[in-house]
Amino acid sequence: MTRLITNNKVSVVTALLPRMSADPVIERVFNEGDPSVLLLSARGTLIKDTWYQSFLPTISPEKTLLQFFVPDPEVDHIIEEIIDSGGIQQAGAGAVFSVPCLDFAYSEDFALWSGGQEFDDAPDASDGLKENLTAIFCIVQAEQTDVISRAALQVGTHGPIIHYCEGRGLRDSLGWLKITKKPTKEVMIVVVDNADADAAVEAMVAAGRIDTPGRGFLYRMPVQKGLVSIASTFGGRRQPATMQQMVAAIDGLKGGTAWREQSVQQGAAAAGAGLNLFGKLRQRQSLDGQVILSCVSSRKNTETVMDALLAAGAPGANASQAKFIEADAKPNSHGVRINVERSIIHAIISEQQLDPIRDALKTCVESLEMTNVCIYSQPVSRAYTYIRPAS
Amino acid sequence: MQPAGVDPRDGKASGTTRLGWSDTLRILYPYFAENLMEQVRSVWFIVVYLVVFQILVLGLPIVYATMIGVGIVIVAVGLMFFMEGLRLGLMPLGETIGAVLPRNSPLPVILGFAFVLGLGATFAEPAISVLKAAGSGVAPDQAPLLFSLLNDFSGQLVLSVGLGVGAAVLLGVLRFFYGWSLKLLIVPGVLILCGLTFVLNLDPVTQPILALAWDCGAVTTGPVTVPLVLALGVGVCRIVGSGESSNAGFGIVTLASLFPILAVLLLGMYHYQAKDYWGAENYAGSATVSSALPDAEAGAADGRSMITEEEFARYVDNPDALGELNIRFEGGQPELRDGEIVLTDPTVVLSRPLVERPAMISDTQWDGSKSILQGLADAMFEALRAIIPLCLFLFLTLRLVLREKVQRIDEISIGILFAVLGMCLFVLGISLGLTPLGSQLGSNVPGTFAAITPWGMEGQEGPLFESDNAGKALAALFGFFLGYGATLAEPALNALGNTVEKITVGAFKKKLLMQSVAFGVGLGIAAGVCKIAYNIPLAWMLLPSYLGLIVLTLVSSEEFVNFGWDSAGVTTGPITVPLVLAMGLGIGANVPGIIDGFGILALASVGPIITVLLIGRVVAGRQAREGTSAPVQESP
Repeated sequence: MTRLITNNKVSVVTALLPRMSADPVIERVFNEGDPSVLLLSARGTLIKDTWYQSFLPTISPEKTLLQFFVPDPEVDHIIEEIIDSGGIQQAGAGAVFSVPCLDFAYSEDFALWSGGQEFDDAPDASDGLKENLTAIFCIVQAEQTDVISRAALQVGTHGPIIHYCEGRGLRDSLGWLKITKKPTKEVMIVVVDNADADAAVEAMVAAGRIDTPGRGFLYRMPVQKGLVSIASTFGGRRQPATMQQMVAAIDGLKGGTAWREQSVQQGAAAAGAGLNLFGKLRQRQSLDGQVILSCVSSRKNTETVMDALLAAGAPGANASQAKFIEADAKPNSHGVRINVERSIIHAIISEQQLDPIRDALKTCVESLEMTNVCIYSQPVSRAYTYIRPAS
Repeated sequence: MQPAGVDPRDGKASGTTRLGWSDTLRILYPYFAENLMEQVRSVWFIVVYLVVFQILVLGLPIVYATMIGVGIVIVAVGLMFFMEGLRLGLMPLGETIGAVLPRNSPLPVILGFAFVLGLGATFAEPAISVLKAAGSGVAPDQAPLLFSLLNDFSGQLVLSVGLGVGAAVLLGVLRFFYGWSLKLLIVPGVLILCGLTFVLNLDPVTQPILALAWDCGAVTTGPVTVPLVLALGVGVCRIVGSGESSNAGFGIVTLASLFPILAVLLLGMYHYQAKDYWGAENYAGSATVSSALPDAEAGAADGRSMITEEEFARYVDNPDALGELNIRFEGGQPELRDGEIVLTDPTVVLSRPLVERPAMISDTQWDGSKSILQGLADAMFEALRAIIPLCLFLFLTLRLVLREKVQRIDEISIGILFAVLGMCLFVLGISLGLTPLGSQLGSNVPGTFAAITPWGMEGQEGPLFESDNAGKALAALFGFFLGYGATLAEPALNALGNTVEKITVGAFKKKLLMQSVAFGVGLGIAAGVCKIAYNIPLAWMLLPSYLGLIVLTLVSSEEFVNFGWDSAGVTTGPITVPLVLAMGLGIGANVPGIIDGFGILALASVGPIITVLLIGRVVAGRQAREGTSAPVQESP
């Protein structure tokens, strides 16, 4: 019988990095004591903005998404280390952000960092760190990502980072006919200032027509702390400074981001996306009071966990495959790690559903004696999808 | 549309829904329509191109037009099933093994598995028939060693290729574990091959086997082997390494293209040493020299149509029997008489003029020797042989050695069924449609620079151009587009494109890879046409290109080296090979001194490596210029 240990003081620290700088970051964090990381392959966004570029080969930059589970007291320190080893202060070098967990339960064999080390001389130089960020996740069909990316860039976000996931829903109810549907979808991640979040969400929902049936799902999560320096230029490439550098410079001059909020209210940024808002964002129907319940399990248990989630009443679930790199799995003599594969399974459910569904999932995990599992939930500030009108 | 990862909140619980017939059809119809259209998009170019070239440029009709049309439809349907079969069945199976094998087994088991997989794949998709076709014109007195390898030692030839592929897969898997750079294997490997090629090129006996060996490298990896091996690599990628080594899954196909070359060269050298090839002291075979070239070709060169003995007999009976003849006077004594030139005692020569352009559509619509049922049975046998043993081997390894449950067994079973069905139709369609079309066009292409007898027709057709070089240039241009179009339709390349796109999470688009590879193959085939048309020794073309490639490889990023070299191995598949061989043989038959159609395929493999690596350099250069401190810039 698997015993699940509960430890609610855990945050998920996510780093979005160019593929090349992932290795030093992982090594540094491992040196600091964190025993494990989940690694997903991802890509950046490259927009062709002049006509001749459509004839040139475009290869989107390859990215890596790293997800660390960090005890709350260590979060600041780990973020500092990631920023330092990944060089995230530099423009275009990546992003890092942390989202605290509401609760966190894990099996004994799950390599979780208990932390506990006190760093007396821990640098508290959180200068660059922002506490007013929002992470936007958008799950859509692969064909739609380009349109949504363009809309997001036009309202001034950074180029979305995209990775794959496999969804559950209609496909599974089709029996053998499910071969006709491709399971793969894309998850777009955008991290923006709170000030820009409404405009970005609005632009993405509108561009992807997320609120029409079967189009996709978008949700926002409040970020506790983070730093984003993924390039967000859109337009001429001969500018001496990137748009993001200019915005950052004005932030510095104005002493904050309040000026941006004003410009959003004036509709300037939103108007850029072709939304005629004039001061007031159109009221879109959204799902409030949601939480995201996540489960990390070995790949072969993916289907079981998803079935358990759906059986317990979750409206849907999706899974991403990640490499689970453990610090213990030292590189062999030639510097290559043989890792294991883990699935990260997400389900977005309402707050009322959280307790029963989580308990059902825990029961399932315990009774089937799954190993290497962790289950956690995080707050979702708002979610958008097709909402069936009350009849 | 299917809903996104999270269900639209319409409250439908999971579980199988009972669907009526009409709903089933409503789901199936767009599925098949979309997939079929995708294949039509990949095949149409080569078909339209071949037809247009034959009718408009060469001005010849299409023989067996109905049969070819039916065949091409079957090819598209077959490709549709085959590609879906790869996606649903073969690739997930290979991926699962790749992701489980490295962690759960001791190294010797893994290496044994890899070796058997490579060896088995070669026997499942033997390319020897293709090579025999290419060497069908080889006369033992001209190229004794080559002749012996293809006839007396063909079993050893297949075995050595198989051992080469086995060793390649083994080494490729070993590479994952030690994180070797692919460059580390390619550069010495290519240098050894180039050295051997240079040495063997000096001896007239061993020189002809060079082309055979290099072509072996190109054709060994077939449409079933490549996706399986790629999937294996993808699976390994999913767990091995952390950041930079994420492309470790590629490279097996590259090695599987290089090692057979080495194996065949070594086999040739062994028999050269043992002196047991045709005509040598220890020869034990029984082949005898066949008669010289067939007569039909003999008179073609100067643009006449020969009058046979039998026709002459008819002429003697009735001077009008042969219709209008050209009259020419030769010899005689010219003298000036009353202001006119008078020839006394000339020889009057009657010759038959070239036939006027034949009708646009030939009368022959169907080749009587081909029946769909017989073709279907043969194709089914071939498909079963290529797919079932390999799948069984993978499945048993998974269950018995790795003791892993196969996930989604229902989807995989349907996928394998689709793959068998698709490959069966595909092979049938090729034999009915593409091969007849390609071979008639292939043998007609030399009409651009020589007088020929159009394929399947009577009479003679003159050279299209007065100038020999202009005609050959047109033939090379034809070769370029033939290579380009055929490559876009290759299933193995499609699979590679999907794999690359998947591994890079869509950063490197399939379309870009396919276009650059197709362009490269086109260039390679154009070079191959020149090789045959001007009878340039293969070594003179291969050595400089491969040496240049080594330089390019050394300066390219690991990622592009992986993609580029792998794409070389996958390009020459079931669509390209028959078309290219037919053309090579056709051109070779019209150029004096050419004995075989080898070598074009080897050149077709070099082209894509060059183009993909060059694109890699271009992209890297652009990103370096744009990027500031960051390694890559988000948006330009």
